[in-house]
Order: sequence, then structure tokens, then C-alpha cells
Amino acid sequence: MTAFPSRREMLTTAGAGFGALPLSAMLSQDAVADNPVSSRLPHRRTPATSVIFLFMEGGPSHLDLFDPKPLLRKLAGQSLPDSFDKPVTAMGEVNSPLLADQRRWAQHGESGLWISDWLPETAKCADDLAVIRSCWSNGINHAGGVSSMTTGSPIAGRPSLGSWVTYGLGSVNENLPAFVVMQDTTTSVVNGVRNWGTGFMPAVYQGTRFNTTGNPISNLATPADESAAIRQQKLGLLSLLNRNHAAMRPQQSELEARIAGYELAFRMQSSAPEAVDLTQETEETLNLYGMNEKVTATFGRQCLLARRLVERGVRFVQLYHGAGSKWDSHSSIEKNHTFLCQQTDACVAGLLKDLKQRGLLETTLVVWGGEFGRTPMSEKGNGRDHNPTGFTMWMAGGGVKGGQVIGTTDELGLHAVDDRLHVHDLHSTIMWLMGLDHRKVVYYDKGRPERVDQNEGHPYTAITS
Amino acid sequence: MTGPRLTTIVALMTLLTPSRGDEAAQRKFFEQHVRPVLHKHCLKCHGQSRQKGRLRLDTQAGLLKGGESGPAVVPGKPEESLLIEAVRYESLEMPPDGRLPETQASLLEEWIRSGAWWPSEDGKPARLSGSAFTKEDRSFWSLQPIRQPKVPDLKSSWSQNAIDLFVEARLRDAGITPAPPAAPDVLVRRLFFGLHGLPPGTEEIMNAATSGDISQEWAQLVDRALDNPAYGEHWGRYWLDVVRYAESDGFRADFYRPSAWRYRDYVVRAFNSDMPYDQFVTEQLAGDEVAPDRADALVATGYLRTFLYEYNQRDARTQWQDILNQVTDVTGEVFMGIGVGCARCHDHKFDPVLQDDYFRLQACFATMIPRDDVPAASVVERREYQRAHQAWLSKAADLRAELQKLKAPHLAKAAKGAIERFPADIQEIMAKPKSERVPLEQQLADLVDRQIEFDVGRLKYPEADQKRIDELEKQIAMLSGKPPTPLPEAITVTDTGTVPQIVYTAGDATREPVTAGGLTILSPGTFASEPRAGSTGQRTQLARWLTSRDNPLTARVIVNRVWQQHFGTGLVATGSDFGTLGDRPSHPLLLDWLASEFIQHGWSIKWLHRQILTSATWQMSSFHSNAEAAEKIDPDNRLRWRFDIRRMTAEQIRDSMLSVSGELSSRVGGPSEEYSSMRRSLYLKAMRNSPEPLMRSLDGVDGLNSIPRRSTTTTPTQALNLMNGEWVRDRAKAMAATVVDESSQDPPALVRAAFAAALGRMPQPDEARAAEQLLADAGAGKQSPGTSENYVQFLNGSAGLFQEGALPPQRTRGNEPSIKGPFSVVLAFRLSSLYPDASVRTLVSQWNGSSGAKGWSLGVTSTRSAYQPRNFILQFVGNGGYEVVASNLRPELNRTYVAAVVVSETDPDEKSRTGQAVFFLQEIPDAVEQALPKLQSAVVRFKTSAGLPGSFPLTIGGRVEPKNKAGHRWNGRIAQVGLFDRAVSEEQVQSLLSAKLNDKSVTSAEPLAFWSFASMDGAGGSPAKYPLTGGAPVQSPLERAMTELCHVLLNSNEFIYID
Repeated sequence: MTAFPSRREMLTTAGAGFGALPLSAMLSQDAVADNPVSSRLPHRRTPATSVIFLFMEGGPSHLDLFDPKPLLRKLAGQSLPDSFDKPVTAMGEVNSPLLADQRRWAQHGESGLWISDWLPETAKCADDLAVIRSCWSNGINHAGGVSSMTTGSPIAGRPSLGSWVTYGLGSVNENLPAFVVMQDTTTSVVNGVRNWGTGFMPAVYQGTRFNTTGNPISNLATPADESAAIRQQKLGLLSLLNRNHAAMRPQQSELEARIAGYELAFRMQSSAPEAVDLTQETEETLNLYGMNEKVTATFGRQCLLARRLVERGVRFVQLYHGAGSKWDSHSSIEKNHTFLCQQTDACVAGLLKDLKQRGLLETTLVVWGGEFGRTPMSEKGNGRDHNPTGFTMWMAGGGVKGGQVIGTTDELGLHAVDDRLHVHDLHSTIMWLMGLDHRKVVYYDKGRPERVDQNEGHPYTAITS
Repeated sequence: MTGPRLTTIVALMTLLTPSRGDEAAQRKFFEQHVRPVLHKHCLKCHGQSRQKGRLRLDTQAGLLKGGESGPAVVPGKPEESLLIEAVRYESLEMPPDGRLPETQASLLEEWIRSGAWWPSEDGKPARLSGSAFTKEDRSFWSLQPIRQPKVPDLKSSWSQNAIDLFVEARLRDAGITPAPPAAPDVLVRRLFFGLHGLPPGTEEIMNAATSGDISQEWAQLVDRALDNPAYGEHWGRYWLDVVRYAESDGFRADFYRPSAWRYRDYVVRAFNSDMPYDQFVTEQLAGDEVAPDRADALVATGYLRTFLYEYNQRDARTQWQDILNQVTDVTGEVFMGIGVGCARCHDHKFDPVLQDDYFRLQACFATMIPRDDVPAASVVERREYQRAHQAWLSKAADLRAELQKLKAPHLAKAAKGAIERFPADIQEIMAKPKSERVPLEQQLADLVDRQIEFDVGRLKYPEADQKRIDELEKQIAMLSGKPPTPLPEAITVTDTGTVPQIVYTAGDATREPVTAGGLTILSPGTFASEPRAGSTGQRTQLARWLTSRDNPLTARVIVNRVWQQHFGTGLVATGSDFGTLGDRPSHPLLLDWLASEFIQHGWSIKWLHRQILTSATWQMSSFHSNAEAAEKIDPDNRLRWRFDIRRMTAEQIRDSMLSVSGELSSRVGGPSEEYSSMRRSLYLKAMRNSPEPLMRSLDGVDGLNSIPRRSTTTTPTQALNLMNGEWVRDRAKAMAATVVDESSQDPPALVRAAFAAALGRMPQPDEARAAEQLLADAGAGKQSPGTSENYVQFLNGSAGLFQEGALPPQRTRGNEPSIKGPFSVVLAFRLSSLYPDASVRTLVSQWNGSSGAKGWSLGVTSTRSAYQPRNFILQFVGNGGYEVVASNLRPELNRTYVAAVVVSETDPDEKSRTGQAVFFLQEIPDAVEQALPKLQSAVVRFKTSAGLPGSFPLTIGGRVEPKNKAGHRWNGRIAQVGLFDRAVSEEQVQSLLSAKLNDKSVTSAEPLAFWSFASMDGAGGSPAKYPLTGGAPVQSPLERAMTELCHVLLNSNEFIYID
């Protein structure tokens, strides 16, 4: 462990019992070189340096995408057999008849992963995917589910996974935020900004929302009625004031940090627009992401932006597709999922292929999933309710061995059965793939050594082999 | 530990521990069936403090090694384990006071057979803390009685009061001399920012700066500042941080809690009136029990309503347990300064808090029930209201009965349907008569009832019934007249009754129930039963225990919090962690002296402020002549050898900006307001899921966690917000207007005035030079964006800004453009926010909002609109009556659009729906080089466009408003409003919408009227014909230049740091 002094130093400072102190301690050492989000070495060497988390908000149906259940077709129309534990369901239709899927299923790639006809393009990348069929979580409603998937707890107030990763690893490109969030619609994601918030940690680790068109970050542009010349002059005066102020307060280096913060902000004014400038991309690339098709243009753009961001060292990119619970198919799941799969399938596949051809898939962990899956029981006749007790996510790249299936659900896909991976396990696994021992990334808050998993998670290390 | 060794250990561990899937199950088994048994029956004699027979069962080593008779446990082999022999009374008979039930014994056996899993902690086997505390536990500093230390007997010329003597004693020991006193003007600023969170008036600063010595009047100045209501507004905010106050649910819907603010006002009043802290604690925990007839005390229990709540949570049991956990955790942190949360799942690993303690504490709250129906009023007022209300109800009683009868079956059916969605056990509870429900069942039923109410609220009656219902309601309203004015609503709690809910540790009913109580290590651990006023009295007991003179934590914790707010760091740096992982006090004797004197002085917070603020310690300068040497000895300034400079909090920064811009409202209390409000930040709506962005970027709080101390971060978002954000810039504009208004036009005088207003000082020569240069350049037109101007810049530069503090709605007076038949409107806009309700953000109108008055209004719908938010709509009252013509085109917030609506009449032969509105919406991207998004358009038919008399003034940015009732206003920018008394052709619209809409392109289309806000006098349009009034915020070149200077000053470190 002595091999990793800077990270260790950071973490032990954090461990000394002062929640907010590592920050000020850092700032007082050397404000610029040793800031709280400066890059740190991981606990172990791993290929993954970035994460792209494709969040299908609202809860896609594992039963219709990745986890075929012949028994479901057989028992369609009947009630859930007594041999299955009855969960509390969000809409209370636990006794409604079972709903068969209407998909054509096939095995894909050399690995022969089962993927339904809703995702023909993703299916072509089957050999890159580790499909985890045994995920489970706590929140039965969207707020709790999304909060669980993003922070590990159905109740608000804990730091998000992206914040933990940023806290543990820092950023390698300080001209861009380390943790970026994008969404496909302007409807608020369920829970809003707290999904990428820091809970009890300081705000430096929080996610920054990027707009996918126009200026990527709010307030990035100089006000319209301020000319460049005047802006320069204003910054000059500001710098003079701040330098005079700091000079009279020689031992207060926090002031230097704040001056540096302003400088960083103005570097970001040029680096952030560059990062999202797609005119640098070839027609071929744009096509790969489906950006020339109306239905895929929006999410394709986000996926492409995600690649550009990880290329530039952004640590954690979270894309929300269907922001505002669009995947939530309580009724007419056929119509709902047909459309949403069309919107995303080619873009996701394009992202995987593009990352691969650029050699970035090795260093980028791609995660796909929603806050929960859907019930085998029908709701309102042709829809499915929320199912947090068993659902599918997949991971690819970043050292993950592709073409494998992890875990199982029961014969109706209601409960995860074998190799069950709770959200805490998923988070621990993602940390582990990023080279972090999730047990050692500790933040002290009000007398509690806090970890991403509330001391309950275990990384599923077999995912790499 | 070196790398290779670690690897070996990890490898070994992997061999020893069972596979991961099993481990979770094993841990669960251990926690459920093993730990409680060991805990209850074994550890008293075979634990930390006693090891009878040399056996200890609280460690894995002890278990394996065993005592005098040999190993107690042989993993995997229960038959060889003495423990099993003993509990079965086969050889040794343990526990001696009675044999374990067979189920427990066989569970122990199963545990051993499966390998005797043992919990670990940081890689090592854990020690079970057992019921007996260690010596270290018992002697832990924060659990010791508060001493009454003698003030150090020092010969000191520096010390002003007792605080100083304690501080000086430690400084002398360390060989550090304290910093000199701060200059009077610095002290005055520090005092006002510290007590009010606001800058002092410039006059106060200037007086202090010139007076040289203010020590004579200092005590009076402190008293005066403490008497100002701004004091409670600032210090109340700190308390609200700690209790994680918010005004919304914090779940998906994040519903607003419209009466939550009463608790906020209670807190502010408590600070302002210097309510004794013990009373403050007691009222928040048990106001309903100790003073059920006092409105304020009821409102105080709003503290117990700060929990997060999900209105549609089907799993009521888990939800209620979560609520109790939240209340328990926060109470531990707030009042005791102990993070008790760990003990929810196991005995606290670091602090002497048992799992039983956690649930004893929880038991104090386990009988409470949230109440929304207890008004904030005295018993007399409530009784009077009841009487009046009954009298009102008795009018038209028969009609009411009929109404009731008509509604009842539908309501019952809807309720039944709602209940059936809950799991069977909940349905059973709901089926029970209310009187038979135990407290927990009442609480669950209450949660369910709230959902039923929500469902039933959306009930639709059959048409015939609805018709009769409407009739009846109308008649009843007519007969009964005005109902009595309702009493103020509040959210409070009471107990369900005098019978306490039975609570089990971890909800495990196989264990013995726990009784309400405090921490075991601080006797008495449990509270005697003392029901009062229809309540269990448990919360009162808790309050009494917390505020008893013997409680070592309560006074220390609050005294330390106050100290921390004054100095930046507490005597204990971890304000909500007085446990073993927390900090140790830097001045233990001072802390105790302050705590004991605080109690002596009637738990008076203001007494404490006076002690601190009149001390030489607080009055030290932040400069130290020999800081380098002092830093070597005490790098963190824990000994207080100088004052630490501090960045202000989000509220201080926002409030200060409003203060120096002259816009700050001084109104105290009342309902919270939208983010655009000019009131103190304390009064902005505290929405958990959508905090105000500027505040959020400045480390403001979101009410999700209890925050004992704000963090201070430096992020790019913050700088971008302050330097580029519109809000700060608008404050600079307002400040510029004030400065220019109040000072001569001489640039050096202007610069001095701006510095004095923002920083309370005169500029240095180099600063003055640079500032004057900026004024000159910015005023001389360097400012004008010139030819590279894009549309957005143009819009920002020339559009009217419609918002509070800027333009109110602008209207024609006396000479209204007369619109009769077809007409068109073209305009550019940028919308900053929606209303939280269904109000419309109005762009242009000739209407007063009444469906009976003919007129029209073009606008955008808000959050709760039936047409969904951000719908670009026309409201129309013509011959066809009131109609909403919704385009379903949805402009985004904070983006620039040019838009048009063309209203005409088609198909005159057709009888119905002859009105037609064609909407156009063109987004203009902020970046010049970016391609234009596609033009959106929509054609919507409606009844008829005929019949507009056009009698209302044309109003931009709102409607004709009733007196004193602002509403349906625009928020954001509007420019280039062209009104046409004809249906403009689509080609014309296209050209009008073309990327660079400017005055000429509009006028060439010959509008009836055209308004542009940068040029009110009418360049290029016909505003002279239809002049608008309502106040114009047109900036003079000097004001624009001054805006730039003020903007810089508001961004400076000096502005946002306190020395």
C-alpha cells in the first residue's frame, strides 16, 4: 500500500475524522497542484479509466430484452403461482395475469447470448457484453429506484456513484468536469440534480449537467452584452483586486485556490465547447451513431459526446435516456419499448463499435440498465409494473469479459436467484473495475465511515474472467 | 503494510471465508440468531469486563481458545463445541439463570456447523461490544459530566474576559502570542456578517474606520445587532441546516409543503427572542405534549416533520420505518452530536452506542403520528373556530346531508379500490375498526389514508350525479354564506394516544421489547412511563433527559456549534460527532466553562454571543506578524492565535449582493417565495430536488442531510455562475443605478462610491486607476458588440427583461391598438422560469383574464397546467366564449426563440370551429456558428376568432391585472414585438422569423405597431402611436459602464470573504 502515496494520503486524511477537512487541507498545501479532484492512482492496476453509464430511465423490461422465460409464455393469463414470493408492487396489481413476451429471441455472436429482436444492433455486439441477469434493488417506485441505482439508497442524501469514483480517482483533465451528466429530453430526470449530487460530500465531486446542444454548461458563455475587450479588462481588474487582497493575507492560501478556480473556469470556456463540437467528426462516425436518422439522432449525439468526453479524460459520464421515466411501461409495453429500443439500439451499438475501433473500449467501462426491470405480471392488460427484485443490466469494456451471462432470475424472471447482485454489489463491481477497493474509499461523515455500498456490497470479480 | 504481505493476507482470507453469496446469508444469520443470544445471555460474565472461567465470548479468538474447560467453539463441529454442551445443560449449565429455549440452542448449533461465521472489521475479527462498556468507553471525554472549571489565574494585559484567559493559557504554553486586535472597520464588518449575515451599512463602517477606537461602544453595538431581527434570520438558518429543514418531500414528485415555513419562522423567532435552549429543544421534540394550547409550541414539532416522504409509496411498512429511522438519526446528530445511525444495524463499532440504545431512542418517537389537521392556534382559538364552523355547517344541513349521501357510495368505492392495491396485511389493518388499531397500525393506516385521499381526490362522478353535486354545492354555498376564516395550517405531530407502541430492537419480535430511553452509558437508560394530555409523554421525557443538567452532551454540543459559527471551526471541529471518531476539544476546559455557564445563564444563546463577541479572542486580527512560526507549532490554528478568514455562505453572498444593490426586501417571515424573489435567501422555497442553482454552486444546502458545517468548495461552476450568470449581473445593474444615482458624475467619485458600497472601503491608487479605466472604456462604446453580434446577443442587449426588479408588464394607455378580426403577432423571447402552479407566462395580451371579458392572450403554460408545462398557447375570448388554443409547441427555458401566431377565420360556411391559429416557433441557438434548428409550427382550429372588441390595453409581459394582484407575468426577455391587424402570410412569417430579425425586417412588413425595448422612443416602429408605460429600465451609458465595475466588485474575493 505504500506504493500509492498520494491517493493513500488523501484517503487517510479523509479518514482522520473531519468530513470537510481533506478539501481545505488540500487547498492549503498547494492549491493548484494538489486539488481535491486531481488525478490519483487506483488501488490496483486495471484497464478501465472511465465509465459511460447508459441509464434507461423508467425501467426497461429484462423479460423482453435479455432474459427470455419460456414458462412465462406457458403460464400467460394465469396468476402468479403460489410458489413465487409475492412482492409489494408499485401499482398493486400483483394478482394480475402473467403477460407473455411477444419477442423473437435468438442467440447471438460466438458466445450465443440471448437477445430479443428489439435490439438487433446491440445483438451484433453480443460478444462484448457481460449480461447480468440477477440484479436487484430496493426502491419499488421510480424515485427510490433511480436513487438506489445512482446513490445506493432509495432515500435521498447519499453521494452518487459518479461522485464516489471522482472522489476515489480524481480527474485527469482539469479543464473539463470529472463527472458529466447528459439527458435526452429536457424533462427532469426523476429526483433531479440529486442523482448526480454529492450528498454529504463537498460539491467538488458533483456531476455537471451538459446540454447536448448549444453551450454545454450553463453560464459558460460570457454575457451577450459584454464584449471580449471589456471582459478582458474586467478580469484584469478582478485579478488586481484579488491579488491585492491575497497579498495582505499572506497565509490564507484558500484565496489562491479561488483565484485558480476562476482561471480554470475560463479555460473551461474554451475546452468545453471544443469537447462537444461534432463538426470535427466524420460523416462515417455520425452515421455509426445513427445521427443521420431522425429517431436515433438525439441519443446518438449523446453517445458520441460521451465518447468525446472519455477521450478527453472525463472520468464518469452518465447518459439518461428516456429522462422522466419514459421506459416506464405500465401499459402498452409493445408500443413503448418498440419505440425506445429504436431510439437507442443503434446508438448504443455504435458507441461500442466506435470505442472498440479506437481502442477505447479497453479503457472505458460501459454500463447499460435502468433503475429496475419489469414484472412478469401484467398491468392494465398489456403493460408491466416495476420489478426491483430481479432485472438485467449489462457491462462491456473496461476489462469486462464479453459474451457471458451472469446470474439468473427465477423461471418467471420475478426474483433474482443465483449470483444475485444487489445495487451495492454492482457499485462495488464498477469501483473494482476502475481499480478501486470500494472498502478503502471512505468518507467520514458525522462519525460514520461512509462507503459507496453502506458496507454491504461485494465486487463480482469473476466478471473479468 | 507492504504490498506483498497484503496480497498474501487477501489470498488467505479468500481461502478461509466462504464464497461471497453465502457470506451475506451467514452474516444475516449471525446478526439475527447468534449475536443477540451471546449478547443477552453470555457477555455479561464472558465479555470485555469479566471473563469468568477465563472465557470470553466477545471475540473470535476467545471463542476458539475457550476458557479453563477448553475451546468453546470448534467451527464445523457442534458436537465438539463446549458452548453447545453448556447451553444444552449437558455438562456445564449455561446460562446459569435458565436454560435457553431449544430453538435458540439449535440455531447456535447450526451456526457452528456452518463454520461459526464471525463478523470482521477492517480485515480483523470484530469484538462484540456486549452490554458492558469498556473502561475507555466509560471515560470517554464527551460522556463525562460537564465540569465547572476555574478560570485560569493569569496576569494578562491582553485578555478581556474569561474566554481569553482560557485561550491565552494554552497559547502561552505553546509559546505563541495572539494576533493584534483587528481594525475597527474590520470588526464591524465581521460583527454584522457574523450576526446578521449581511454587510453593515456603509455609515457604520465609515464611522468605525474613522473612530480609531470603538471599544467603548462595542458592547452596545453588539447588543444592538443582537436586537435586530436580521440576527434570527441568519442564526435560524444555521439551525435549519442542522435539522435539514426543507419545504418539499424529496421524492419524485417533490411536492411542496405549503405550511412548512411556519417552523422556519418559529426557529427565527426563537433566536430573536433568545428562547432558552432547553425550552427550544423541548418544544421541537414535544411541543404538543408540554404546551398543547400554545400555537408556537405546536409549530415547533415541525422539526419532527422534516423527514423525506414519498406520497405514493405502496410499501407503507418500510416507509414508516424509514421515517422513524430518519427522525432517530437526525435527533442523535442534532441534539447529542452523536452519529447514532450505525447502531441501527449493530452495536456501534466505534462509539458506546448499543443497537438497543438506537431503538430505545426510536421508541420515543414510535407512537407519534404526523398531523396536518392541528392548526397553529391556541386551544381557545381552535374551540372558537370549531363553534363557528359547526354553525356554518348547520346552515343548509339537509342539503349537506343529501350531498354527503350522493357522494358516499362513490367515495367508498374509490377508497376500496385504492386499498385493494395494498398488500394483504395492510388491507387487514384498514378493515379493522379504528379503535382496535395499535399505534403502528394507526400510523400505517394514516400513510395509506393519505394515498387514498390522493386517489379519491381524482375521482370522477357519473355525469348525472356530478350535475346534482354542482347544484347542491351551489345552493349550499348560497345558503351558508362565507365560511369562517380558517385557522393557519401547520404540519405537526402528536402521539396516537397514551399507549406506547411496542418497539423491538431491529424490529425483531423474537427479542425482548425495548423501552423508550436514552443512551445506556448515560444512566438512566430508560424513561419511566409518564403519559400526559392524551400522549405517551415519551418525547417530553427524551427532552427532559437531553436538557437535564447531568446530560454531558446537550450543552457542550450547542455551545460548540455557536463557537464554530463565530470562528469557522468549533472547539470540537466535528460539530455533530462528539464520538470516538470525532475531534477532541482543542480547549476542553473552556468548552466546559462555556457549557456550564451557559446553563447557569438560563441556556441563553445571546449570553453566549456576548461572551464570545466581547472577547479579545474573537476580536483578533486575521493577520499575525509571525504567522510562519505560529503555523509551525499549530498549523490549523486550533489554539486560536489569529482569526481565520472565511468565505461567506451561499446565503450571505446572495443576501449581500441584494443588499449592496439596494434591492433587498427587509420583510421578515411569512410564506416562502420563488427564486426570483428579492427577499433574503432564507425565504426562498427550499425544494429538495431542485435547489436554486447559484446557491447550490456556493455550497448551499439541500435539506437532505443534517449539515453541521457548510463546506467551502471552489468549482468552475461557481465562477461561471458569478461571472456569467444573469442573476449576479442583474444585481450589478441595480447596484450601478444606485451608485450613479447617489453620487456625482465625476469618475473618481463614482469609483469611490462603488468601492464603499461593495467593500466598505476606499480603493487603493492602482485599483482606482484600473477601475476608472474600465468605466471610461465600457462607457465609450467598447461595450457595443458591433457587427459580430449574433441574435442572442442582440436579444440580450435590446430586449426588455421582464421580472421582479426589472420591467413590470408594459401597457398602452388610452390609445389601444384595435384588433377586430384576423391578426398576427411576431416576437422574440427567452423564458427564464415557469410558475409552480398553472399560471400562464404571458407574452402579449389584450385581456384581463376573465372568461367573461373578450380579449386574447399569448403565452406559455406553467408547471401544473392542464395543457402540460411550456405549451405555447393562445387564450381567446371571442364570440365563441373562452377557449384555450394550445399549439403543443414547447419552448425550452433559457433558450432564445422568435415566434409568431397568425389568427384567422376559415371556412365561413362551416358552422363550428372556424377559428384558426397558426403557431410558429423558431429556436435561435446561442452559438453563432450553430445551424438553426428546424422551424416548428402547428395549426390549431378553435371555435371562432370573431368578436374581438379590443377594449383592453395591449400589455406586453403580462395581462391587465386586478389591483395589487400581480400574476400571469412573463419571466425573462421579450423583444421585437410586432402586431399586425391582418393574417400575415406564411412566407412573410418565415422572413420575419429569419435568423437576423431586426427593426427593418419588421417594419417593412408594416405592422400595426411595433415595440422594441432598447429604443423606447420608437426607432423603426410605431410605438409613438401606441406608447407603452410601466417604467423603463433603460440604462444610460454611464450606468452600463458602472455595471461592469460593480460586477467585478461583486465577484472579488474581498466581497465574499470575511476577515
